[in-house]
Amino acid sequence: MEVKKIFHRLNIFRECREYNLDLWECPSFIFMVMGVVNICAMLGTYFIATRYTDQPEIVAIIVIVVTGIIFIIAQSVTHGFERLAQANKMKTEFVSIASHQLRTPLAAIRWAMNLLTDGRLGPLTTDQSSYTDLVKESNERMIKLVNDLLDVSRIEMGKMILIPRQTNLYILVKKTIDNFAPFAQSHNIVLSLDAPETLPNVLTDPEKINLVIQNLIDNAVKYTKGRGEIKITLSQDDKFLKTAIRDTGVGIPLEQQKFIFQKFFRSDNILKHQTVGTGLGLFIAKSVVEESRGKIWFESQAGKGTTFFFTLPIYK
Amino acid sequence: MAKILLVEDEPTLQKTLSLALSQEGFEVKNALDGEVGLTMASEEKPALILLDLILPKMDGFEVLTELKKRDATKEIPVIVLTNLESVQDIEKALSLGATTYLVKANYDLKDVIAKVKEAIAKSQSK
Repeated sequence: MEVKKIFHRLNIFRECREYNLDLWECPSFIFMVMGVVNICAMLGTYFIATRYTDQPEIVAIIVIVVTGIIFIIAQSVTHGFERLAQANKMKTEFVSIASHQLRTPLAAIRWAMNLLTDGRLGPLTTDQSSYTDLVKESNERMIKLVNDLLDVSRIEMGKMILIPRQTNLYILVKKTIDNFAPFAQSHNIVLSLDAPETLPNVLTDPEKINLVIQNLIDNAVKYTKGRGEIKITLSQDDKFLKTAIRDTGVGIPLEQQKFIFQKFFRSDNILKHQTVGTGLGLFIAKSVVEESRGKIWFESQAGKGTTFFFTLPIYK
Repeated sequence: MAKILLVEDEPTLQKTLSLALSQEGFEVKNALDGEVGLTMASEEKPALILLDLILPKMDGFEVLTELKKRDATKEIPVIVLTNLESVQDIEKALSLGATTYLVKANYDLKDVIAKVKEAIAKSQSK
């Protein structure tokens, strides 16, 4: 049994997979590296010590002391890594369980509000329905947050699985633009779509990529202050279909551009005038696009606007 | 008037959905756990079953497996309603014979009703 345990422990790749960590963040791999460092240190100390003294007892003592110190350091480093990895795994699992549990009461609120707003319990006065709309909107925001958190925890557990199939990107984009038109109009923003008449289909998960498109357009509208224009362009680029979403908004400050795809990151200039948002959308977007074997990037100038690009492979 | 069996243990969801469905003209039968759901499916012969997955006594996957095994119930379309949403759960439910799969928090009542009507129309045209 003990032998089995040791072998289990020696399989470092299994542990790395379990924690969903890169090799260099993985406790068991670090432990192995430290072991190699320890052996090198033993040999090094031996050679250096024999050069300066002929007495084998002193050489042995020096080697033992140095090895001992390095062993203790290695132990504490690995232990620290192990605890971090465990805590991270528990956090991800907690988010997943909590989000699932939150969905049931959120669905209950949604459906009960539906009964009221659809007039199934009798007509509402204008005042009443303005408040039921508020509840409905807040409820939808919470549902979106829970869905985003679940997506993030799935990405972190390596469990976000896409179901890629033949997808007409033009239809998806067109639909999203139509849905967003009233919201954009209320912000004095015009949405336009520029695409050639015939475009090949792409290979991706339509539901997930739809969330990405919604998110990018939503950001473009939210971060364009005052009058503006958002231009969405679809074009073929070799074996990929490229989508560009260009806004004339606040832009992303240069020094913060490298953090933009990190989860929970929100740049300073948007926090000043737009507090709604979690900083999860672009993290999820990057993961969805890359899982579909595409790329996502942006060009931005603070004060002038931002263009987000993403590519998706053409369906063969 | 088509009969619908709703197998759902959460009282608010059960109450709201059955009210909306009965207003649409359906006759709604409620079961609050998996075992009762299975018995009622054989006795009531509904036109459609709305089935939650996490249920007391017998979970939705077991109920679905049993429904599809029995001659009396295997033709009844089943819409799985749940808040689980992993690809494994979706695939498991569909491979066991569910017609479709809805995440409760992501659908308005009117969308659920539309799916119900669609599934009934489809099964009657067969």
